[in-house]
Amino acid sequence: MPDPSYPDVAQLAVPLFITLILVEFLWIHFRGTGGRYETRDAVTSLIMGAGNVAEGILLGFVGWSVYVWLRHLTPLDLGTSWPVVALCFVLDDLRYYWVHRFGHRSRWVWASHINHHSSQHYNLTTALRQTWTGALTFMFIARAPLVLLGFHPAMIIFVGGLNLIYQFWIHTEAITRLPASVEAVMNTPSHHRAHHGRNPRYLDCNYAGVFILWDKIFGTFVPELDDDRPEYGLVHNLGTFNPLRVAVHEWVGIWRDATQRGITMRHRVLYALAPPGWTHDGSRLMSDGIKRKYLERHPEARGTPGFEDK
Amino acid sequence: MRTTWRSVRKSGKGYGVPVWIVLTLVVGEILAMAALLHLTGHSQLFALDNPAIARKEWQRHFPDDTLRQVLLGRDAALILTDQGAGLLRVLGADTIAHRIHTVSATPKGLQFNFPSFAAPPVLIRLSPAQSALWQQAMEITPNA
Repeated sequence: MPDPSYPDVAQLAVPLFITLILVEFLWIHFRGTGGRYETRDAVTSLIMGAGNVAEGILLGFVGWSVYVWLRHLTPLDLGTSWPVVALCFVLDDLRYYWVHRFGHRSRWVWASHINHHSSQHYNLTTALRQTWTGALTFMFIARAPLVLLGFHPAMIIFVGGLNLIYQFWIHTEAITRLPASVEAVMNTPSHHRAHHGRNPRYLDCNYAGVFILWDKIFGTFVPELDDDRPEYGLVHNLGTFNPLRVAVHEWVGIWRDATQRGITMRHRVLYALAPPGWTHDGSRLMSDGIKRKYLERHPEARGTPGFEDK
Repeated sequence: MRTTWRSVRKSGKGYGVPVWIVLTLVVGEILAMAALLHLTGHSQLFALDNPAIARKEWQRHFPDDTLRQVLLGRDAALILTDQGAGLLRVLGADTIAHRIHTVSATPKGLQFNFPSFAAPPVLIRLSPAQSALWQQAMEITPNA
């Protein structure tokens, strides 16, 4: 069977991204609501997006090579019919959910993903604030099961591009809520705003790419609450707009933590792999600790979304 | 046809636009966006101009702290808390807060250094009198 041919949809969508950013900006500027734009923040996000594309061009071959090698190994070939493409899209979204969840729960992957959360703003340029160091995480390996199941690597990359395009438009405050039936199934601006919130309630929630159902199935869904509006950024926000620092600061942090004197080899490994905030002496807080401290100050929040099991 | 690295790569990227066109578009888009935002007033800095705002901003960054005193500077404030001294400063339309790490006096003010690669050293411009006051306040505020 000849290899299928799919367009590079993410690249083709660039004009759409630019248009939507302009539309959102004009909406916010003239209406005075629906979000905030700041010059240096937006420029940093756009440069991060460009760097992410460059990283894909330079290092994308690593993942590709592995997929093609696995394609030779597997006896399965599901073909290229549209139902197979649709199934591939759904399974790739499930893959995205777990990679994204792992990206928030292991500092090694968080070091790559953190820059996407590093803006104190939430607008369509934030969607483009993507990693420059994704290849370092080796998370491309998470697509291996799809290849082994018989999905063609080109198809997997194609549906991954569609997934990215879907996630672009949800990075906005200009859309408040969609109809309940949509909010119930799909990832929406509201659900994703909660994901980007640095409020204790919203830490480690809503990892979905396209279908919010994954969060509901795996117990990580937290709805956006009107009386606890998401405040965007990191628990400890960055003191710079320098894209290079934005891209690599957490890797530098891992290096400094793991190479300090007087700790065991186990500690060094955990500084790289344990959840963000882990320290050998408990001097920093992980997300559970941040939530616990919040509940000490706000006991009335116990049992509400984001604090159910605390 | 047998699947090879080359054939798959080609099939996956067959509709690509030449890189130089993409680069030109990207650089042009970033420059245009920067110009548009700047010319429409979106480069305005956060107005850190009174102690109440400084307190509110500090608590946004460090909600567990108990604040004692705020000393305002230009686009920055020294925050004295029961947990130690900290620097709140303007970063674009927002603020950023740091625990004090090391500080050195310069003729233009105080230079603050932080242990994080995400927070490069920053010079806070202060008059000699302000500089002395801030240094004295930091000395009497114990670190947590």
